[in-house]
Amino acid sequence: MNLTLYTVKALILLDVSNGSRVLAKYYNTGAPSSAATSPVATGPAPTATEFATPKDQKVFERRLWEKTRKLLNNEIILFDNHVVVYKGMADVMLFVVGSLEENELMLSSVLNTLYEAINLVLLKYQTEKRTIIENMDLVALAIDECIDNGIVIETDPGTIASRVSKRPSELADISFNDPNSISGAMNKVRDSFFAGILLK
Amino acid sequence: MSFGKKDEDAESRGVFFDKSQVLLETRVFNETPLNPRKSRLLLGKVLTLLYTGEHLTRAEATDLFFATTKLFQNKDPGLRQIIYLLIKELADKADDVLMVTSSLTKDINAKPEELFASPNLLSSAAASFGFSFGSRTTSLSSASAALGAGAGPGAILGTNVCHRANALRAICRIMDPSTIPAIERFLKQAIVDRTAAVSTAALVSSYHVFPVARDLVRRWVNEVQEALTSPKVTSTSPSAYLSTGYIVQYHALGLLYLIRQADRMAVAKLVQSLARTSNVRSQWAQCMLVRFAVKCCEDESASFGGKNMVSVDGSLSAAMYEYLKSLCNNNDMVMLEAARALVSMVNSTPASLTATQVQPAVTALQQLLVSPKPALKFAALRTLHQLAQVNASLVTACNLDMEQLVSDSNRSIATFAITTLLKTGTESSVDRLMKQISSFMSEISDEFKVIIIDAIRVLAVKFPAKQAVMLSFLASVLRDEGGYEYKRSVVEAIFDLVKVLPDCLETALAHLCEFIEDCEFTKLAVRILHLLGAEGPKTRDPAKYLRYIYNRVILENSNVRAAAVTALAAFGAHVDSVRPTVRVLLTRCLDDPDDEVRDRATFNLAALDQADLRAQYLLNDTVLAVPTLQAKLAHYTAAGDFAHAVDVAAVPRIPKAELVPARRRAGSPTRGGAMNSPMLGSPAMRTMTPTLGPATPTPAAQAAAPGGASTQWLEKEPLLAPLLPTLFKSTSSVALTDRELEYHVSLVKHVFRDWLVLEIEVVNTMPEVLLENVAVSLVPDTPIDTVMKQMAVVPIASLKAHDPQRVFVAFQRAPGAVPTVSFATKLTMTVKDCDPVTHVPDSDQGYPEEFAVEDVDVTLADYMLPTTVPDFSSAWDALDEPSQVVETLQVPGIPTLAVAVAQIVDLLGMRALEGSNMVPAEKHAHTLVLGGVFLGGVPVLVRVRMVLDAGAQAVAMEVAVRAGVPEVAQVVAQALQG
Repeated sequence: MNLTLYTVKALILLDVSNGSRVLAKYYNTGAPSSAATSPVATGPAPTATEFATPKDQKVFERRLWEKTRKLLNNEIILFDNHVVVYKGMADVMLFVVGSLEENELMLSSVLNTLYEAINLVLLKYQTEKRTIIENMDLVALAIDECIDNGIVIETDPGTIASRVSKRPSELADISFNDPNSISGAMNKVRDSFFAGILLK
Repeated sequence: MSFGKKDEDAESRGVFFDKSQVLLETRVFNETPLNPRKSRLLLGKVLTLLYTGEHLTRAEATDLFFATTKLFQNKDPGLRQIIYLLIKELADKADDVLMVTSSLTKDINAKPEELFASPNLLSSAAASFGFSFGSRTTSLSSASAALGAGAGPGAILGTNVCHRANALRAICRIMDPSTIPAIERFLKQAIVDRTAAVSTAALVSSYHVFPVARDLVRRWVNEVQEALTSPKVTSTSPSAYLSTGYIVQYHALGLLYLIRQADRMAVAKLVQSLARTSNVRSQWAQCMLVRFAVKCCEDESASFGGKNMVSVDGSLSAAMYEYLKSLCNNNDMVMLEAARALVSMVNSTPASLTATQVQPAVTALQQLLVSPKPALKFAALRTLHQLAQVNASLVTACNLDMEQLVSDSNRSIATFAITTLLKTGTESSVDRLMKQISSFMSEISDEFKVIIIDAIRVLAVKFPAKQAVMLSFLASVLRDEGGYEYKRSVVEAIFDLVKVLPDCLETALAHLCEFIEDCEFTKLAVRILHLLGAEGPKTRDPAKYLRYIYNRVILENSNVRAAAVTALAAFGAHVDSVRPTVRVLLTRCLDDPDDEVRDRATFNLAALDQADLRAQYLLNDTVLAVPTLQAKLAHYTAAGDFAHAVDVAAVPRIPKAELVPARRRAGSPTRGGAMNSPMLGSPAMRTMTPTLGPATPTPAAQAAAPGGASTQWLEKEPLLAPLLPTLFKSTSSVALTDRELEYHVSLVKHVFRDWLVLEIEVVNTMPEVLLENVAVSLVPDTPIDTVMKQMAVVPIASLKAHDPQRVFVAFQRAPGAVPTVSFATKLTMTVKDCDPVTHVPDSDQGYPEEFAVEDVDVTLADYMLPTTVPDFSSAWDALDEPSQVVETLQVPGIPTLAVAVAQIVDLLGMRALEGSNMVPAEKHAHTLVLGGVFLGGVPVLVRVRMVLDAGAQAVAMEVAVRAGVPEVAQVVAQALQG
C-alpha cells in the first residue's frame, strides 16, 4: 500500500511512429513500501532503484512503446511491475507510470489532467510533437504545475493552465484577439469558467 | 525556431537541438537590455535538452545555472516562472546552487505590488482582464481586498501568488539540512496561507525535505493541521476554482501522516476523527484516508493477535469498517480505493470480513465493471481477481459481467476476466471457458499465458471430472511456441495433475514423452525424465517408456543423458520384467563421452544386480535432510578437525516426497507473474499462490532442518561460536509473551553435545523507551545443579525500539545427562526514557525493571531429531531386542486417539512413520510408530499400541522403545510416563 504522496513514478511523451523520446521525467519515488512497513522508517525514503540510469529509462520506454503502439485505445496496461496509463495525442503518446499497487483511477486522473492542461496551454486539440517542442516552455510549466517531484499538486486543468505564465511580450506580439496567444488562452479559460458558473 | 532545416533524421531519434549550440546561445543572458522573450524561448530549448535525456556535465550544468541566475535581474513574470523551473531541474546537477537562495527568498516575501511592477505588463494584463471580468468587478475587488493587497489588479495578483508558490517549491530543492532552518519562517507561514497554490507548495516542499529535516517539520504540525481542516478557497479569482482548493487537504493529510506515522495511537485518532466528520472533501485526500484507515486496522489486528475485528463493537476497526462501507457509493476513485481496502481485509484468518460485510465492495466493483472506461474496468477486475484468489465464492455475483469482458479489446482486461472466471466458474461453464481461452491464447504475451495456465491448474484440481479437457488443452499449448517460463508452467501444471489425479497418469506421461522428443529446454527435459522414472514404473506397460527415454540418451546433451540414465535405472529397479532390457541399455551408456553419465551408468548397473544394494539405493525413498547435512558439513569443515568422520547418523532422514513441494516453491519465485505477487500489497497476498499439496512443510520437516536461519546470531557471538561444530539441534522460535505486551520475547533453544544455549530475542515496541543491560534470570523448578550448570549470560547492552536483539544463556550439561526442567523466567533491565526518533536517552538515570515471561521448558523433544526409516519393521528388527523398554500406561482425559497421537508426537519430538499419525475416525485401537535420532546420533524407534476407552475418555497404551543405546531407550520411555 502506498502510504506516501508520491504517486507518479514517471511521465513520458514518446513519438508514436518510432518510439523516440519527446519528453520524459522520472520522479524519485523510491520504494514506498519501505516507509510503510517499518515504523521507524526514514520518511518517504526517496531512494530510487529502478530507472536509475538513462539507459534503463530508454530501455523501459522502448519496450513500453513496442507493447502499446498498436493498442492505443487500451489506455491502461500492467507493464514491468508498473501500472501504466496512456493516451495518444496526434503523433505522440503520453504515459503516466505508477507503482503496481497504485489506484488506477488516480493515475488516470493525472493523465487526463495533463492531457487537458497541455491542450489548453497549447490551444490546439491536435497537439503534435512539433508543437510541443516549439512550445516546450509552456508544456514544461504545465507539467510542473501538475506534478512536483512525483506528488500530484493540482488536478484541475483549468487551474494549471491559468498558472502557466505567458511568454514575455515583444510588444509587437501582443494582440488580445489573437486566439493563439497566451492571453487568448487565458481569456478562453476564464470565459469557460464563468460560463460554467453563470449556468449554475 | 524553425524546424524546416533541422535534420529530420536526428529529430526522429529524439534529438531536436544541438547541446553545444544551445549552451553557446545562453550568452544572450548577459546582454543588456535583456530580451525576456528570447531568453524564455532559449530556456525552453534547454528544458527540451534535459527532458530528452541529454547529459550535461557538472561544469556545463553549473555554468548554465549561473547564466540563468543573471536573469533574475529582469522582472518579467513569464521569464521568472521558467527560471524557477530550471533551477529545480538543475538543482542536483550543478554546484553551488545555494547562491540563488536570497533571490528566491526575496520573491517569496515580496509584497504583491513590489513584484513585477512593470507598467507595461500591468496595463496589458489589466486590460485583458477588464474584458472578461466586466460584470464581476465587485467580487474581484473583494477578493483583492481579502488578500490585503490593496487594489492591485487581479491578474497580477494571480501571477504573484503563482510565483510565490513556484519560488517556494524551487527553494526547497536547493536547500540542504544545514540551511533549511533559515527558511523555516516562510515555510511555516506559507503552509497556512489562504491561497491554495501557496499552501500546497509549502506542504509539498515540507514533504520533500522531511527526510533531512524531520525535527523541523515536526514543529509545524499545528500549521499542517490547520491547512487540513480549513480548506482554501482559491482567492486569486473570485470563485472560479472553488473545486480545486480542496486538493490542499490531500497534501496536508499526507504530511500529517508522515509526521505522525511512528505514533500509532495518534494516527488512529487522526483517521478516526476525520472519518467521523465529512470535512475531507478532496477525493485524493479521501483515498489517502482510506489507506491510512486500512493501515490502522492492520496494526490493530496485528497487536491483538488477529481477533475478529469487525465483531468487536466500538473498536477502531469497526468504526473504520463503517467508514469504508459508506464510501462504497462515492465517486469512482474513492469507491475503488474503499472497495479495494475492504477486499484486502478478506483473508483466511479469523479476523477476516464475512461475505455480507464485503458485499458493498463487490457491488461497487460490479458497477465499475460496466463502465465504458478501460481504466475503470481494469481496476475493478484486478480487485475482483484478487478477491477471487482468497474467496472465489464472493465474486460469483459478478460472473455475468465478467463473461462480457472476456472478449474485451484490452488484453489485460480479458486476461483478468478469464483468470477470475476460472476461479469462480462452475463445472458447467468450464468447457465454454476453455474454448474461449484457446481462441486467444496465441494472441497474448507469455506472462499472461503463465497466469492463465496457473489458473487452469487450480481449476483442473477443483473439477476432476474435467481433467480430460484440461489435459488435452495443456498438451496442445505445450506444442505451441513459447518461452521457458511459459513451458515450465505448463509442465508443472501437468505434474500437479499427475500428482493429484492418478487417473490421468498414463495420458499425461504420453503427452510429456512426446514433448521431450522435441524440447529445447534442458531443465524441463531433466525434470520430465525424473518424473518418468518416478511414475513410469507404476503404469500398466512400463516398457513403452524405455524407448522414449533411451532416445534422449542418443540425442541429447550430457545433463539430459545423465537424467535419462537415472530414469532408466528406476525402471530397472522397480519392474522385474524390464530389468534385462535396462541392463543392456545401461551397458551401452558405459562408453558415454561424459563422465557423469558413465558414473551413473556404472553405479546403477552395479546396484541393479544385487538385491540388497538395490533396496538400499534405488528403492529407498528417503533422503538425508539437506539443510541439516549442510549445516553439519559446514561446521565440520570450519572446525578443521578431520580425525573423525562426519557423523551421518545424526542427520535425520525425510521422505523424498516432502522435498518436492519445498523445492518447487523455492524454485518458482516468479509464479503468478507480475500480476499476482505484489499486486495490492495486502495481507491476502500470502494466501494467493495456488500451491497444491501441503501448503506449508509439515512441522516434522521444519524441525528436521535444525532451525536453518536461527544459528546466524549464535555465529556472531564470539563466546558461543566455538560450540557450533557440536550443535545437535536448534528448535523453532517460540513466543514467550503475548503480542500486545510492550516487549515481545521469543525463545530458540540450541542443543549441543555438552551444552544447552537459550537464545532469547527481545523486541522493545515502545519508541520512547530505551532498555539497557537486558538480561534473563532463570529459576529452575527442580534442582539441576548436578546435571546442568549455568555458565554464561550474554546480555543486551542497549535495546532501541523495534530493533530485535538477543540475550544468550549458556548451560553446560554433565556428560550424558539430558535433564528436562522448567525455568520460571523473567527479564531484568534498566529502563530509560528517550527521544522516540534519535533514541538518545533523556537522562543518564534509569530505573530497574523486571518483566516476567512464560516459563522456559526444556523437554526430551529438545534432544531428539525426527527422522524416517525406509521400512519400520525391518529397522525395528535391526535394533537389538535387549535394548527394548516396554511400559504400559493409562492416560485419562483424552477424548480421541488423534489427540493422543498428536500429544505423543509433540512430547517426544519424533516423526510418525508410515502414516501412522493419521487415525481413522471411529477407530478405537491404533498403533503409532515413531522414528528419531537422539542426541549423539543414537537411532530411536518407538511403537505405541493404544486403545481408547471412549466412555472414560482415557487411553490405554503400551509403549515399546528400542534404541541404539539402552540408556536412551530408558530415558525416552520415562519421558512418556511423566
